[in-house]
Amino acid sequence: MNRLLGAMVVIDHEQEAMSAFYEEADELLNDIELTLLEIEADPDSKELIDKLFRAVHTIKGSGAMLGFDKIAAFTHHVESLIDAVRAGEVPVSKLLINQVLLARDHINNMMVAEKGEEAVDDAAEIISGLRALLGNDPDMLVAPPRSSDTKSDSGRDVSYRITFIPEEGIFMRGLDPLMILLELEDHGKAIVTPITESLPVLENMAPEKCYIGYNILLETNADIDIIKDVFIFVEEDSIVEVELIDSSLGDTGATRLGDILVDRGEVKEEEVNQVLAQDQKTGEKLINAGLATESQVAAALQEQKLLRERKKVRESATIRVAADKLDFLINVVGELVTAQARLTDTAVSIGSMQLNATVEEIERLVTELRDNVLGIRMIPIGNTFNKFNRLVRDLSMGMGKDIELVVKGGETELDKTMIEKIHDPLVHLVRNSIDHGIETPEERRVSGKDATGTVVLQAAHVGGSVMITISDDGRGIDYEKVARKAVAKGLVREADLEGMSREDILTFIFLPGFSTAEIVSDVSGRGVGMDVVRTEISKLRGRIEIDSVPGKGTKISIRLPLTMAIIDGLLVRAQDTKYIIPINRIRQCVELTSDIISMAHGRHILQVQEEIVPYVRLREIFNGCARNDKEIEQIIIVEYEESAAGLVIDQIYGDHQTVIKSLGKCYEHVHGIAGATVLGDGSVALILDVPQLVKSAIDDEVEALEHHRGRQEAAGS
Amino acid sequence: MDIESRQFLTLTLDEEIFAIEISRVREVLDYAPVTVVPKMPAYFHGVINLRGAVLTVIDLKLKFGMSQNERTCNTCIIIVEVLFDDETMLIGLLADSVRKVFDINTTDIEPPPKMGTRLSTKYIRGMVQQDDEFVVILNLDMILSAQEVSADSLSGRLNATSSDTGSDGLVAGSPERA
Repeated sequence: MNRLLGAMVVIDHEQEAMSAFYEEADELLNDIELTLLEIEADPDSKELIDKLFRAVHTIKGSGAMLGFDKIAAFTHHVESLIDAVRAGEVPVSKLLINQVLLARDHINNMMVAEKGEEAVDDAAEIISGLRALLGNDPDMLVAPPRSSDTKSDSGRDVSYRITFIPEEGIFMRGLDPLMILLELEDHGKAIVTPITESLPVLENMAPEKCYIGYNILLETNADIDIIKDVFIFVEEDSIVEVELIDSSLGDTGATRLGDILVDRGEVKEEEVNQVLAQDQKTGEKLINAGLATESQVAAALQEQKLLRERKKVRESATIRVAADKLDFLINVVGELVTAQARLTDTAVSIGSMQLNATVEEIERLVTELRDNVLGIRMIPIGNTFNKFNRLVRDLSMGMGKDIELVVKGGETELDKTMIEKIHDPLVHLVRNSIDHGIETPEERRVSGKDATGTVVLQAAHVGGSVMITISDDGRGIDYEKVARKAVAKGLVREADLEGMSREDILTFIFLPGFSTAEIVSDVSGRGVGMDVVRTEISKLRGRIEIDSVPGKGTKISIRLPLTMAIIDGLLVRAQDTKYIIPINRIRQCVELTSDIISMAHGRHILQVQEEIVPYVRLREIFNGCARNDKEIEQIIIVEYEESAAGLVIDQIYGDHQTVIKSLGKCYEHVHGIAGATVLGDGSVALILDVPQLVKSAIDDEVEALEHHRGRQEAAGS
Repeated sequence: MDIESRQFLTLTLDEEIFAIEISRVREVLDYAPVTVVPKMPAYFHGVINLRGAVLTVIDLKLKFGMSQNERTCNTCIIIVEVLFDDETMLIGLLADSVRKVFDINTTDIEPPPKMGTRLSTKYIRGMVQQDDEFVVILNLDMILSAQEVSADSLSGRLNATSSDTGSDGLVAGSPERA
């Protein structure tokens, strides 16, 4: 009956199981890639190889269970190879790592194809490559471990004590404990005793849940690994213990007796174990045999305890949450922040001591809540950084260069969306370093450098931002070349180059269509890169800078705000509308007096420190009013590209931190408005998109000038 | 059309009566100050804050080319669901007043007349006679069609944007919205 129930449940939850499989497989494939690279650096680590095997085995098993036969069949080849490595029959080599990496990619492709229902070409080449590594007789290991006991060299029978307590929801996952028990029987003689303590009364029993555990005594000549493998799909969530019963331990006869007692239902297994524990001390035996000292054993026991605790902590450490649940939560918290601000304002005007105290407490709690909730979306950037290992490895091998990737500050946390969006720009920058920055080993040796080049990816929290740097010890940027190219492309005039500093010259690299690579390689050099990178980073409200020393290396620094959802801005008013100007764009606030205006003789410019800065009045651009006759107006000097611009407003209120709300698709074409936010008093303020705003103001003026000129010419002719 | 009775909310715009299917109506608010978003067509009255969400308010009279008049205590904002660019979104419609909710038989709805109404027929789903009055049933999804919005923005029927240099063709609207 259980089997039938299991099958029915599988059909009902097939969709869920499939998407769970895709998610799990994605993670596993990631792990496989990382582990392979770790094995390359540490080929003798049994732990890593086991980890690799488990991951591959899981994909194969889950895939087979859900009907992905092609994926399971292909993965089986990979599993055989790694099994052989695990058994010490095949050595780890660069060739092997490459082959398995290729295979992993193929599995990934197959899964993508499955999702999109496309076909994927047969990986005959990869398969023969895998087989070749296995040696002369690959067929020996092609059959799944179940039917062959060839690995076990001990011809004699041994006994295992197996405890298998399936988790309650095991049927929901499409697994049937009965199948596992049957599989055990394939290996030898099994005596199964159910553990029925958890069985509830019939009224309370839910038929889809599994309440029964099993004690199994297995007599077999199979290796313990084979036995453990039987449980490989259930061991994550169910309790599985496989112990080899050392016959010498049965000297006192207690083991056997204890089990017999349990069989008869006369003693609980826990009690037997308790008693046995007093006899089981391997440690004691070792000490008595003079093979280990007391303190060594004590230390080892502590380690065992620590490892077990750590395992428990790690397993319960994370929980998967749907992203839109988080977004909803963030929204609600945002509103709470707004409402609490209103509360504070109201309380201040009422002025009651009692009320103030409570309101202050609420303010503190809301701030804490907001910080924590926003922090939920933060994940360490190390995950992303580690993916670059593969990229660096493949690229550098492809170019015949020897490059090492160093990752620092991987624990630095960023908002999840930001990490996703920064990925492509980072890829581009790292590729640049590898392609243009680091020289070939010969070139490096000639210049006295180490043949191995280094690319450093680093992340750190600095102030209220995150700094990501990509640096290399390559050949640096050739300023001469950049300057010449800029002139050749008409981006700057020869004469203007005179007074330019290195920083100024470097900024040309960000201009669209710029590229100094002579040959447009497949990797980079098409000239569409750096300006797109800068735009992407701008969209994240970040900044990017390059620094380079010719011959020594290049360093690219990216500064990003900690979170996307909340903006730190200056609240201002122009006419009747309130605006928020992002703080990261603001240089300073200056007064615009009538003297300054008259100095400019009709042009909208003023001098700030050493710079001539043009300005626009928000009132004019947005609200259509003519200049008013106030004595003194305020100008906010903002950064615009590499210089500055001024925004004239009527009143400055002060700093303001709120949640950004999108205005909607209709407003996409409005240049200068990035979104809206709800203020403490419930009104709506518009968030300025400074670069867009200034650019559009410039464009409008240019257009008006040309129009004006056109009219003049028309009048004149 | 099947014989069905549906409920409609009636509203007035400058003495004319219009109706919206009740299933699209989320709520009705008293008039509240809006924040004007610049460089948008004039019938984009502005945005308001509704429990933390920023919603657009459309001035139907402007959209339909009717004359403006003073706001009264009956002026209200009707929050409805519309389709914009294949997405459902909430917007507010500025109305002079709301009236009763009527049951209307779909068989009684007649197709819009080819002329004689002040607004373009694409906004009209049909007409029905109710208590000696003609009620125009609105086609909500056409009010915010994407092509219209961008066309209107480009053609210059914008909110308040003249500058000192005086480009032709731009209408200087009144910024008084509070």
